[in-house]
Amino acid sequence: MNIDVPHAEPSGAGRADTGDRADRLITLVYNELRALAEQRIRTLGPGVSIQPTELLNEVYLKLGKDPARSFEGRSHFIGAAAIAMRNILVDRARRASAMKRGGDHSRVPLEDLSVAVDRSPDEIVGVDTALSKLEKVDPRSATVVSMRFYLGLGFSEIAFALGVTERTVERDWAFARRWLAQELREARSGA
Amino acid sequence: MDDARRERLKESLLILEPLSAEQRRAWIAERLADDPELAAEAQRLLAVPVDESLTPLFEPPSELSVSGVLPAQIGPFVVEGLIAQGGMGNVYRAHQHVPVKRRAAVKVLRAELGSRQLLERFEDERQAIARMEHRNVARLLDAGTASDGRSYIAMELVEGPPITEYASLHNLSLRQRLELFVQVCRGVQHAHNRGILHRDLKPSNILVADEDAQPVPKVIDFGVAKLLASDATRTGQTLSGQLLGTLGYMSPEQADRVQPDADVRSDVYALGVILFELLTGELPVPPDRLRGLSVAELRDAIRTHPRRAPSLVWREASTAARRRGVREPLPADLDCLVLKASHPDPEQRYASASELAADVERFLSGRPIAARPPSAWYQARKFVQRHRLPVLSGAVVALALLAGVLAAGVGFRRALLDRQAAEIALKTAQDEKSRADQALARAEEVSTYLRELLMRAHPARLGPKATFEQLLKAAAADFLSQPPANVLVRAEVASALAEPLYLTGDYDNVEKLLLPQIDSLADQELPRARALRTTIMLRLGYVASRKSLPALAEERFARAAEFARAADSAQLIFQTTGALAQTYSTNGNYDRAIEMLHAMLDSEIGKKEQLLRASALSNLGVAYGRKGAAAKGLPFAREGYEIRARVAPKDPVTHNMGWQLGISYMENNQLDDSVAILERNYAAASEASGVDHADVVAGVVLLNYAKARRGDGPSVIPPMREAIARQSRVGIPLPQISQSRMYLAGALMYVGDRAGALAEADANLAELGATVKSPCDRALINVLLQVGTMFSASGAERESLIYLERAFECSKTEPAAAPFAPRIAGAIAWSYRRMKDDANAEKWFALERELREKPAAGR
Repeated sequence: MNIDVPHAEPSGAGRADTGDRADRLITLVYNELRALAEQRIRTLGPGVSIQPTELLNEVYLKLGKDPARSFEGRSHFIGAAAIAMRNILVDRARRASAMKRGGDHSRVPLEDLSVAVDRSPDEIVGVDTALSKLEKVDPRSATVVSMRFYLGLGFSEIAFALGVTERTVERDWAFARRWLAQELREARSGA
Repeated sequence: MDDARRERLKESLLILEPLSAEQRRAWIAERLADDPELAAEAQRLLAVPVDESLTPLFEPPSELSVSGVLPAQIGPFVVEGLIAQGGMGNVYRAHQHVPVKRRAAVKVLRAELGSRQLLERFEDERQAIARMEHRNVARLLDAGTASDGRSYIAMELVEGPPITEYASLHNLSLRQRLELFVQVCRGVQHAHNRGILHRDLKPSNILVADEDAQPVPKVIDFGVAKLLASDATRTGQTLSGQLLGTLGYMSPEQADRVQPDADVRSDVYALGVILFELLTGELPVPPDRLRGLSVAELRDAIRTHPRRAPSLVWREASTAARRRGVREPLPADLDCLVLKASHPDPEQRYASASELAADVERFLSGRPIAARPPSAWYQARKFVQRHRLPVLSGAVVALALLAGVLAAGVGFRRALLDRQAAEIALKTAQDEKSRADQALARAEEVSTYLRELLMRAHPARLGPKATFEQLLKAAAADFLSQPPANVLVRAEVASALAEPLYLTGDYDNVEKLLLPQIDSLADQELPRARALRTTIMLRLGYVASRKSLPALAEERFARAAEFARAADSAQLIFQTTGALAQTYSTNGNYDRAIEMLHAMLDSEIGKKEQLLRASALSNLGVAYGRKGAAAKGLPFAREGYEIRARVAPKDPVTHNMGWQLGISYMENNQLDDSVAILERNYAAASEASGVDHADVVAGVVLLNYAKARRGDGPSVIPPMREAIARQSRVGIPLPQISQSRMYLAGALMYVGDRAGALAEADANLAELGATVKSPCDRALINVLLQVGTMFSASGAERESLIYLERAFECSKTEPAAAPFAPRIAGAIAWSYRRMKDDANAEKWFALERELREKPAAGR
């Protein structure tokens, strides 16, 4: 309660304000996630299901050895992880939909990673599209959604990562949830 | 939709989400009435069913949990989630089942902060805090040590955003914001009444909850800052990082790292800053300005940062700030109020949160607010302090000069108000308005002219070492060579320049400036012209009295009194009559003075206006004392001083009355009372004006003289000598130094140093005699009379006769000295009586009676 909330709230998950560094971090997290998953497949053999949470934790622990395991380091990691995870899941879902329609098999299909997600690829792509629209309307709300949706974080953790009050996160969520629901409904009825 | 409106939409959705459809409609109708588009959007979004497609894809990775593992239980509280995380520790949302069901915000201090001793120190305050019961204060529920040994504090859980955020989210109007703010003040006052300071008031510590669809601000974390700060100080930990968010609200006295100091006025300061932010969206001292400063620089940075009027800040606000502040233009009336609350000097702030609240309420109900622009005196004093001018000559001039300019500014403001008033009352004659317009135009012209005059007299022209006195003289010369054309403007400017010149003792220039104004104002009918004519004549009267021309002074004061009657201003009549009475009293015409002063006390304004009444009472005491009726004067002197000390304890005029009362007690031989009042007055005056102030230094002399009479012995002499040396060093006018030396001679006599006393008295008379025109100058007679009286009373009767007889000779030849004759004769009689020379005593007493019955001619 006695915690100082910055006057101006940063826009977006450590993207706007950190620029380059965040981009590098996203790439780093993304690469680590992929490498880790591939290593798992090599050692455990295909068909073994891996919880994304575990992947994320491993990456975090590995990067966490970094001396910057501070507030900044952690909040940047969360921002980057949300984006990396979104990229991985959406890539996979896109490819899965494409395959259904007879796409190419040249690359290792990501579903071989068996990241356990019980949502249909169409749903994941749909949310991604709607989220991209929300990013243009209200970037911070979109960040809140991706942290919650792709990483499963709670409000307090998101608030911590964004450096805003929990109430602000709740407010963003209350809005984004309604806004996306409407967007998804329109997309569905349009399709 | 811009960001501000979207944030408002978000907040509305958050509130509306858990409500029923019917409650939602009612809430929207009530709270979003001002923005139909936004209301429609909220309705539309709420109508969409939310499916499950947005539930998180995964369970959160437990180890990733940025906040660390949530403790399951803290003391009796079951943790539900994390509210915030900070350097001091985490704050959790929690609830308790036994013994009562309640929800709480539980703050767990970081292990290194929360020690047992810490809580023990907190214990006293905790009990006081726990007893607070106010709608606008979050209650302290519990404090203790959790199972892991860390300390925790549990408070009533307040669900809502910080007050500033709430105001902009709900787009509150000026009135709504002020009403919220008044509630906050009430809560803070409640705590202050119980002796609890907050010490860290800021928007994030004032959350606004919706209770029964009414916004209720609640202050959280009362007393917590002290607990944490004291511990941080103890452990030598730096708070710089965390302080930043707080600094913008911290009073200068709290930011003092060497001697941090906080009282209720420090909380008032924070309230003032919060009000500033609520209205303008900006902080009076932007935190950027404080970033990167060393702690040593911090206090001065906060104190000296130029304060701008909120209405001005509002007008020039950035778009971002616009969104946070009020939408409607900020009335300038509020400026004084906000600036007074957030004044860097605690003395200038509201003395309490409730006073601040009362003034806000006065504003809300359309009554005049109590806050006023800082007085000219105060501004000038600050100016002098900032520039550390040599204490007397220069400073007094600078001060008075500023006072003059500012007085013109105040006139400007008054004119502005007059015009507003005239506009409202349009049905009254149109010429009222045009007259007010003229007044406004004139005030503008005066203030422009004065400013230009001072610019022309800039040090660049006069050389870098120009004193204020030179600057002032240059300004006067400029004025005289090129006076403004408009009669009233000319008089206003002359009057503004004359005031400081008078204080420098440049009486010739004052007369040059003022005398022509009397004639040119003669046929002016405007009320302001008549008032000006009166004050100018009053000033001219004082000039005459300073120039030791008592007859002329009397004549001028009498004319001023006449002008005051023509101006039909009760206050001016009172002032001029007072000045006239004072001249009579100084000139020895005590009976006349006493009669007038009694009449003044019986007048309507004399009964009503406490400060004016006090002056008259005190002067009456002096007049009776001079007449030799000390016992009769004492009650008046006492009453006058007491009124003044109650109303304006820190005012120099009050202190003057204090010295006077000390003298009255002395005249009545109540020496213990005299010493007591003089000591008390010395403490008050030296605190208010500084130990170097001329009156305070003179007060030291008086006090020690009283002690000498009481029989305190030779220890009183060194401080007197030191004070007199200081008086000559800083250039006090000779007659005043002479007065002090006379007391010194008296004191020497009382402590038994007869030779020293006589030497001091003679040296004093010789030095004064060398500067006056006539051997029977009034100042000289005054010294002769008083030295004689003192010596006589201290047992040196024979020596006293030398001085008294010399004075009496003068009273026979010098008309101005004639009124003193009875008093001198009486003093001589007393000396003979003490010498047991009854024949001579009787002779002189008879002479005294005779002289009294035949008052000085022409009076």
